[in-house]
Amino acid sequence: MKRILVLCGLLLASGAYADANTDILAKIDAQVSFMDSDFSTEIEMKETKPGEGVTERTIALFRRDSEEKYVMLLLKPESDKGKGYLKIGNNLWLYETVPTRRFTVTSAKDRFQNSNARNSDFTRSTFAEDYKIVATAHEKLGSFDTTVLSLEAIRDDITFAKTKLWVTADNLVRKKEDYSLSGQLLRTTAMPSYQEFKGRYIPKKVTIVDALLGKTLNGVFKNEVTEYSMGKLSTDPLPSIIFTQSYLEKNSQ
Amino acid sequence: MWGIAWRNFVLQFHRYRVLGTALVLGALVFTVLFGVTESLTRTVREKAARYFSGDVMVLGFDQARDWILRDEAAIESAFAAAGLDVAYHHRRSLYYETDAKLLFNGTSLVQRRVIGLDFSVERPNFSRQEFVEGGVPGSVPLDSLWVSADTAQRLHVRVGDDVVLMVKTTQGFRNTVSLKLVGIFQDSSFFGFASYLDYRTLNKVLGRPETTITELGVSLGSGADSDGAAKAVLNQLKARVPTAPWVGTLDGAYAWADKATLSSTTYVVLPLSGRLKQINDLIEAIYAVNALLALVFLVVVAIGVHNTYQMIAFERIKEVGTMRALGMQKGSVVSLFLTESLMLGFLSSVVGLILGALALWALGVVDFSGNVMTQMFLDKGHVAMAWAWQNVLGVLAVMWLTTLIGASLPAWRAASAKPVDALRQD
Repeated sequence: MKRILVLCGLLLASGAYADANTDILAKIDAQVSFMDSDFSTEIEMKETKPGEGVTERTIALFRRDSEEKYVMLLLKPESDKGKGYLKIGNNLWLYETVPTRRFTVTSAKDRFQNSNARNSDFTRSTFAEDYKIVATAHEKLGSFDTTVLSLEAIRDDITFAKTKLWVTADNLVRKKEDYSLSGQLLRTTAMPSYQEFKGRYIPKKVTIVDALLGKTLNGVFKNEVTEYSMGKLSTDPLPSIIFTQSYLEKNSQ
Repeated sequence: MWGIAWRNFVLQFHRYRVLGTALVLGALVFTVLFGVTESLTRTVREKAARYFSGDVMVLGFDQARDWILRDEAAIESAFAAAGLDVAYHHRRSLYYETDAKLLFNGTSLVQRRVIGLDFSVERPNFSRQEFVEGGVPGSVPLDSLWVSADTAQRLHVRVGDDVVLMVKTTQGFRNTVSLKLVGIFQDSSFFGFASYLDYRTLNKVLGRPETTITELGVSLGSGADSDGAAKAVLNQLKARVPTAPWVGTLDGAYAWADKATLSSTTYVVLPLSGRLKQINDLIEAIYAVNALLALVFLVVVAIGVHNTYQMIAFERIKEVGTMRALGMQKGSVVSLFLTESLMLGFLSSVVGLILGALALWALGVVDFSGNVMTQMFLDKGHVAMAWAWQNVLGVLAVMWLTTLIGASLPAWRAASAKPVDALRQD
């Protein structure tokens, strides 16, 4: 009888632990997602490849998180103007204008325009749906007291098999490390400061450092870095026509 | 007849000198042409057989399209029962997606094909790669990696460096493994866009069971017919496991698999020619150009032989008249001339063959390795010495036929002359 009670206690405790875990991740997701309104912004992105120079891009992002949709339109550089991405549910299309105007199926796991950002970086946050927490720790990250959550994927269709989050008490992710299945660090993302907008939080600046790509210059290894910031924030309702292929086609003309 | 012909041939040798020289030259050119073609096609086939899994290979299709061969013993037994002339065995696990990347010191390079080898089987064949640095160690560590010189140059890696291989697992996650570069092989051609490692290491990083095999094959002895061998293996395999009908090519296999309802792993047997259409097209193009050149050359030689024989027949018209006056029949005169032409053709061919073989040897000494375009056809930068008996017979037959055709009409004309008229000629 005693053993059964202990077992029940353990089961309840593990269930509660799992719930608590999911709860933390759900809170993190809720801080940065717009489930009850549309969201649009203009992203200024700077991609630095050591020895090769800097590429700057301006991207218009339109999100309807409640329907798992987003549209991204490249506004700058001029050579990429007209290109765009359309995500509806699990389907993601890239619209290209050169050499011919056409849609190709792409993946959320792929690099965004060969930068260090992935296409999945621009969707709503889905940590609670994609990962389980396998370890927690506490760590000082600069001036922040953070909880470090080690996550492992629970689905196959997500970008990174393993991820580590540095989360502050306000459930905002300040740093993120993405790993391969074997545990190789692939990239580090830093989001030290956020701006509050309509009850949600938007990172002021995101810095993504690729752990594997870069170049040795003057004896020092410099990683490839992609930085972006979001401006012109809005939660105004967006017309549904935006989330269609024909919108991308028309926009490019 | 042969005795008279030989006597005439020796006595008239001074008349045959120019024609003989031309025929020797012809045999030499044919020898070099056939030899080089044989060498180029043999080398490219050998490289293709090393790159793919031999001259005959077995692939497995099922609904999951995971390519895993689940009835390895049955396939091995079918290979054994087919009675093939096997030079090398191939046992490998492959990654053939467009996203395989090698990373070193911040640089990445996509690989067309990542090949996991079972070195207990593949070592003899793989050791034949032209290594420019490193090689195949006596005991192959599990984290060993081999790349082409082109890949090594682009990644700036040397033997001993740690290189990261990034692939996508069967579940779709990116995964990495750190590998030690132990060998760099020279091949900047199509076959150089591959990297090799131990099959267990590749399986592990892909999330497959460690001993998974996705391709089994054999390389055949020189000159063997891979299509015939593949059909023989298919016949044996049919009795052992579910098999697809003969499809001939990889595209054919995909087309068949798309239509078929596969309840269990079903096996496709492919010849090497069915794996790489471009290479086949290239080889066929080489043969076509070769045939065209040979034809043009043949016509030129035949016309030359014809003209020269006409002169020889004219110069010997009195001799023909005497033979005819002594009672020799027209047919016998023709036979005599043709026998002499056959002797001329044979001697010229043999001399031409010997000189051609020497020319091929000399060509094989020249190092062409600087040229990227020709890399695919060269063995360690050189034209390999390939001299098939079919080529020897071919050169002999072509030269005999040419001299026979060239000599026929003049011989007939000479034999047709009336003895009185022939004897009157100056």
